[in-house]
Amino acid sequence: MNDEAFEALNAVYLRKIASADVVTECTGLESGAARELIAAEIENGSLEDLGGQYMLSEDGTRAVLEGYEERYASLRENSTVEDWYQRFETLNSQFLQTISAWQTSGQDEGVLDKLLKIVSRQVRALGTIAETVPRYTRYADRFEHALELVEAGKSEFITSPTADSIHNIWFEFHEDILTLLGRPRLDAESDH
Amino acid sequence: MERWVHDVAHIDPNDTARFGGKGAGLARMTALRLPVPPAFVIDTNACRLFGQTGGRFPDGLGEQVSAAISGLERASGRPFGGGSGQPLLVSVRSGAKVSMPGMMDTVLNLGLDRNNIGRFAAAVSAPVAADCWMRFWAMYADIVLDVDPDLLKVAVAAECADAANALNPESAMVFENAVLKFLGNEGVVVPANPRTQLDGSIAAVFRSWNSRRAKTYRAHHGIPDDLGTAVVVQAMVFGNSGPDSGSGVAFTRDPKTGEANLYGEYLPQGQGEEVVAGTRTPVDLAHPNPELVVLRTSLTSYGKSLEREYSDALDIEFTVETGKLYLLQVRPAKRTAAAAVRIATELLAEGAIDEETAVDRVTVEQVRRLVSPQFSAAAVSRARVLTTGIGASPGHGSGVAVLDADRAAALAAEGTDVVLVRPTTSPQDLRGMLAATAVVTARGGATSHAAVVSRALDKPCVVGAAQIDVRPAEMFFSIDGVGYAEGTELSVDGGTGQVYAGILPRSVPDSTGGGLEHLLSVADRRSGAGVWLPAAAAGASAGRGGAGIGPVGLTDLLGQHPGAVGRTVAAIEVLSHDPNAPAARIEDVLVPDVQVVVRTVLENSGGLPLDLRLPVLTSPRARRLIHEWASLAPHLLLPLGPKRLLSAWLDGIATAVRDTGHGATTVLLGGVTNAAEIDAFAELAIAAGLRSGAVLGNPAALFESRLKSRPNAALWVDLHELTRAAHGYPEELLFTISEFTATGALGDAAPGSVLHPLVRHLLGELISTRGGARVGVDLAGASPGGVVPDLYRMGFRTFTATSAGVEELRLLLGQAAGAPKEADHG
Repeated sequence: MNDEAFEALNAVYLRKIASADVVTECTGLESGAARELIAAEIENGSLEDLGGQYMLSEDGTRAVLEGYEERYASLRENSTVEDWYQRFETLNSQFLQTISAWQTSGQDEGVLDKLLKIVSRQVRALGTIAETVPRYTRYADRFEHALELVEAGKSEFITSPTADSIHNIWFEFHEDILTLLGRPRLDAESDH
Repeated sequence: MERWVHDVAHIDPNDTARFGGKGAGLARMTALRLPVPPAFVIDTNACRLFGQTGGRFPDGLGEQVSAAISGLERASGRPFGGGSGQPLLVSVRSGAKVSMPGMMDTVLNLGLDRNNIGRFAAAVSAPVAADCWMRFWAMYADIVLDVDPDLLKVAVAAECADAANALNPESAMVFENAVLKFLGNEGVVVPANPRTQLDGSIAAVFRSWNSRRAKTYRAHHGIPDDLGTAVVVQAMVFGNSGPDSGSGVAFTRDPKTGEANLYGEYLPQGQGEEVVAGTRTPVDLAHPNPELVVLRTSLTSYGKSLEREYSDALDIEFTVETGKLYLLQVRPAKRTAAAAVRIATELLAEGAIDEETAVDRVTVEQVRRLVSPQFSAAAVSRARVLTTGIGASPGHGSGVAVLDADRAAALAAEGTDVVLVRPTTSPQDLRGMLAATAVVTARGGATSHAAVVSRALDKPCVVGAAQIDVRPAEMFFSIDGVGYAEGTELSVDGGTGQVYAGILPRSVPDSTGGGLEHLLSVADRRSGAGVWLPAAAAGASAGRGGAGIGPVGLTDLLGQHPGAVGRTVAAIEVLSHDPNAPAARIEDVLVPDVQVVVRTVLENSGGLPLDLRLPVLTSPRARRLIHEWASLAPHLLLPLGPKRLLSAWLDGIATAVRDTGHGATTVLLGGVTNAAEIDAFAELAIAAGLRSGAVLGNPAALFESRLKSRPNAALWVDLHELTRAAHGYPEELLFTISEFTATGALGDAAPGSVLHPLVRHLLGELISTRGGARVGVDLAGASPGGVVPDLYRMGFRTFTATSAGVEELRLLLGQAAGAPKEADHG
């Protein structure tokens, strides 16, 4: 499976169900190209069409997990990603504390400042791992886009579960890197 | 040379443009003779020069800062940096005229280094000194150097612990070197000298004025970029300086209830951060201990003079250092919704604030919280608690337990209230979370996915209910070994974390002792606007400040009467086939049902006027209800096409009006596009002895300049339909449009939260040509906060909303009345 197909299926895998727009956003492809890819994956039985929303078939899920294996099994042996992930864990717990504090403090602007600073640091950190996992630059781009929208006063891009919000991107990235490292989610259950 | 640095005792507290809000506040407190630690301000002119020279201090600023530091040394009797005895530590804060996001936060404990840490430890203790020092470096890294403070703490944890255990020149040097080495590896230049760190902090404040976030905020709010920020440097005092010291926070009024009584907590031998963090248990300031009584008396008197200054309830952070009380920070206090109402009404009664301010002191969200139904206390006391978890998102919700998101969504679509119970949630459960009235998870804490998403959706949520074992695949869950099937009824309190057996009855509590209604009546008086209530509120409308009931859909009323909709549809289908069908199959079927349902509403109307909307056969609902819709006789689809139906409905309504003696019933026709239709309908209504009007949802109808031809007509704008028509959306899309808007695909146009320019233009036409007509706006589905101020400015004074929105709307209108009467901001 080529990189584009892997990224498209992975976008669906991380969400369980996704529209063509979401796949376009996550892969960074042109909208037409993303739609062609989806059509091809429906054709070969990896995706199921639920009327404009797509789900992975069992074959599709297997293909995604195999895609992670063949791309990243070797990375799990060296410490680069592992060390990077340890730093991310620190940032992750700050992020979760701060986003919850923002929600429960009556959306205090000072707390939001802190939150956006954490997200900017995450964008910088993603830059340092881009050489090892090039597709992670997409998460950086999506964070940047969400940051711009939040700074322009669109606060739904902080936690809205139905938009490409900071919390959604963060959660998705966390799932992604856990899968990449071959770790089950349960370890992280206590926080996220 | 120009002066940029000023002692707060010598500045004009009203010149916030030059000295910033914080500096002016300190000046005001000093003028009131309140005990504040000595401080100086670097004014906004220095910030402007810093910006103009690309980030250089203006010549002479460094010397002025040094001189001001000498002033702090004299006032506190402590040396900054070198010298002997307890060292002077300072805090550095930003302070612009308007506080804005993106500005630098506070740096505390600046002034420690390897040479004076021992002298500081002698005053407070080695562990406290090491802790303050670590805290300083974490803040300095975070705020001035933009390095993750937690990574720093982890990297130097061992050296910090050694210094805390045995503080000596050796361990202090090792710790400082470890900090400098870590920060060096992060690629930043770090000064170890406090005087240089002070300059770095001041420069960071100036730089933060031009942070992306601050600039965006200013652009958005029309604040000029050249205003600049001031910097406040203040001597620090320590509540952990041994016995006779401590820190605390006091509220001039109880932040939970709003009661006008000093309320607060005090942590003997503690630092302010410990009070905020809740790491140690403080004592209540109401404690009868004689020392606390003295403290309480001082704080009460300071609080009173500060309240006179601010005209609001305040929270005061204070520290006692070896017996001397200092006030560190004063700001308007955070408060619960009930307290906000009580404080606003009492300050109004005391004459401290005017009506406009009182109405502005309470937010729409607070009102929404106060009128949201709660489990009745009696039911809670009898209810069986199944389990208790962590309350993650407050609110009360009940429904049947469903353990799978897809099943939850399907069941909720049938109109069943569902509580989603999951081991944990992820984005894959979103459909179920959106559909549920409440969410419960067995695992996860207050920052889990379920907690964050539930708060974002404003749904009750309990997480970490560890006694629940959830088995989604087997459709059952158990609590402490007792099994429950999917479908078990549950009630969830997302505040306390309790999960009860069964569905608990809910009602709107009066947590403000009538204060809310009083405040809303002030808002009503200010706005001069009337809010019409939905039919569901009829009967319970007493005391809800409604101007009328409606527009109520006749179809909705028939829907609550068994079989009535089916009989109506059958009669319509008969009439479509046979325009001359006998009365036995049309009128005799329709009239009795209408008579019964309208009579019920009129009997419960409490004397309020009623506006009734007649069914429209072209509506999406008619298409769903009438099986043979596609083959209906075409003329029936025109507003006045089904004349026989209209007459029968009018007849039933008129009879109900006569039976009840209700004097103000108006019937409304929908789907009209011009004034002639309204005129023709008025004649039918007059014949039945009723007043008439129309619901306008079509741009053409609003464009009519002849609407004034009928004085006394009632016209209601269906904003939902008008928005749909203006944008050209299919009806089915409107309920998901907010999701679509969130993708950014519509740019800034947000149907339902901003008036489309065409809609605004048409509404302007309507308001200017209404003549003697009564004109109202039905906001159904729109976000009131987004459109109401705009509509109010245009001159609309009559609105209707869903039942839950009535109080919110009254407050919003009261606030809109006080807002500047300028042309809209576009």
